[in-house]
Amino acid sequence: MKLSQLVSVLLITSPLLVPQSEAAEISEEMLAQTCAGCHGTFGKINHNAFMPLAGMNSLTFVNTMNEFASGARPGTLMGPLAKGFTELEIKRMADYFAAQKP
Amino acid sequence: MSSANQSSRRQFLKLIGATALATTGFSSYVRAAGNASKHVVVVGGGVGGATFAKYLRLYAPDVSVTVIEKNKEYLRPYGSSEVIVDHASMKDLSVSYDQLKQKYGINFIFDTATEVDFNKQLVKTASGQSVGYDRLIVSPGISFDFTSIEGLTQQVSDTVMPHAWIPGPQLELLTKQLKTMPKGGTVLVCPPTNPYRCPPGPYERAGLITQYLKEHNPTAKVIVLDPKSSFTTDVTMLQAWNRLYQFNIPEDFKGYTVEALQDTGLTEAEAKEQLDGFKPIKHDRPGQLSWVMGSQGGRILRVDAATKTVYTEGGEYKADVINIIPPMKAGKIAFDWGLVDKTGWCPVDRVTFESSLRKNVHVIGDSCIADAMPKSGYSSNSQAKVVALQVKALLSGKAPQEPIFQNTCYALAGNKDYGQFVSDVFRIKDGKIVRASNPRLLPLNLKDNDLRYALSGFYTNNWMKSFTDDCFA
Repeated sequence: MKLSQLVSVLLITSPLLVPQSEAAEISEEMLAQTCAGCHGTFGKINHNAFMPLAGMNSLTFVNTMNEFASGARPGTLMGPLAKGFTELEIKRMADYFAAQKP
Repeated sequence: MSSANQSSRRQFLKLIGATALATTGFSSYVRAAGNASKHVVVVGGGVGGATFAKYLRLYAPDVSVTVIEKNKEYLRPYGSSEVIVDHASMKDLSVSYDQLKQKYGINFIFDTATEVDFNKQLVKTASGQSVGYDRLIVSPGISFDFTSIEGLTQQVSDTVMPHAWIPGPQLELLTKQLKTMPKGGTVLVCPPTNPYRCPPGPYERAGLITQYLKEHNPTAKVIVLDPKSSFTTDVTMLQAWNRLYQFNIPEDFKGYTVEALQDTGLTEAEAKEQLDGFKPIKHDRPGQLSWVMGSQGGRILRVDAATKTVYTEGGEYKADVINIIPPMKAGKIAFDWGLVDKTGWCPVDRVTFESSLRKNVHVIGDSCIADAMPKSGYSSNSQAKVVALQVKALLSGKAPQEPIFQNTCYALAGNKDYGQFVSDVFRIKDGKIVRASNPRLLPLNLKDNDLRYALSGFYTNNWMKSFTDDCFA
């Protein structure tokens, strides 16, 4: 499945979706800054328990966040946090972090 | 560039040029200033101020930033209760400003900000410097209200009944008191009324002290005297104490009900399932830790420093170590500069954190009114990044964007292997900051050896470094 297809499936199936016009006003920087308090500035982190996000494959990011949100992937606080974002926001965060140099 | 900005730029260079030249990082400042027309001044180099300064330089490298901070090194309050029980030293709490200066070209003035001229957009310092700004960020943290408890004064707090809520001499005093208390003695941990900095913090501290005494002074007692009958993370914290410290959950505690759990973001079905999976142990021989809730008379009315006695609505407690964390209000400078309303905190626009009382001035961190966001390091860090993006837009005449905030408060229940948290995403709704209504705590129906407790403890420890780096490095 292509990423774009996956995203459209997720957009249709997500019960958490808010109107896209609302999400579109939020910049990638605004979305991504929420992760930095644990995962490092711009997702860059070394020698720490938290997963570096900078340079992470976009699909890996999207899948991981969706698995946290659904509970398919066990975790501590990432389940609650992943549920706090729409699928579109998660995709935009994924693209932002994929573009960061690790 | 507007003429007002030109004049504040000139004034800034003239007035602080000599000092700034002597500090590391001025070369980057000059480079930035060459391209730019804008200067932002930050008052307070704690989590909020430092994070804001760093992120504004990252988001808007052509804007120059000056931080006015009285201390040359920062002592981080988050995780500082670990000093009391030897998990950390005062040195571990110390954070340098060098990276902010060197890596990001942020100018630091180590001095006390004293006066502000909101019309001329100038801040003055104790040593007589004047610094012009296009936007002013005030991040002054907290101050304490000693008036609500009779007999409690700054002096009593400094010498007998330390709050130790800002790391420094009081934290060292509390640590010493715990180490030298008699066998079988009593420790009182007394949380404040809402709102206050670090909501799970007083309870984490009580747990840490209990664990320490369990190992070093097993007949000693820890009593939490509380004006409140609930607190953030109460359901998971009390559950942990029930398991770890033969702690009996007070009978009139209202947290373990379907309605209360629904308020933490659970559905009715989830709440029922979690309650079915957690049966508190009734300890016939209670352990060292107890909690006197507000509904049981836990609120302190008066203290007597000479006899080390605390008088509450419910009774009288004589103790060896008395940790009273007084009610809090905005940092002193927020009062001095008229940024506070009748609540004792600073009203702000929830999208930009611009003061409702002063133009071109933004208040972030513990001092501001941010509705559902707790007063925590993570909240301050999150607000700082949001405001850096908004200030970048405002300085170039653009509209601010819809903000998203996040908070995580990690807390240990008492030992390093039993961690927990409260974690939220926040958005704006009807002009207020609200939580996304998701589960925010660990589930109650986990076995006591569930790996998630150990992992939360492990992440708590790692977060001290990753979070400090995000703010200061």
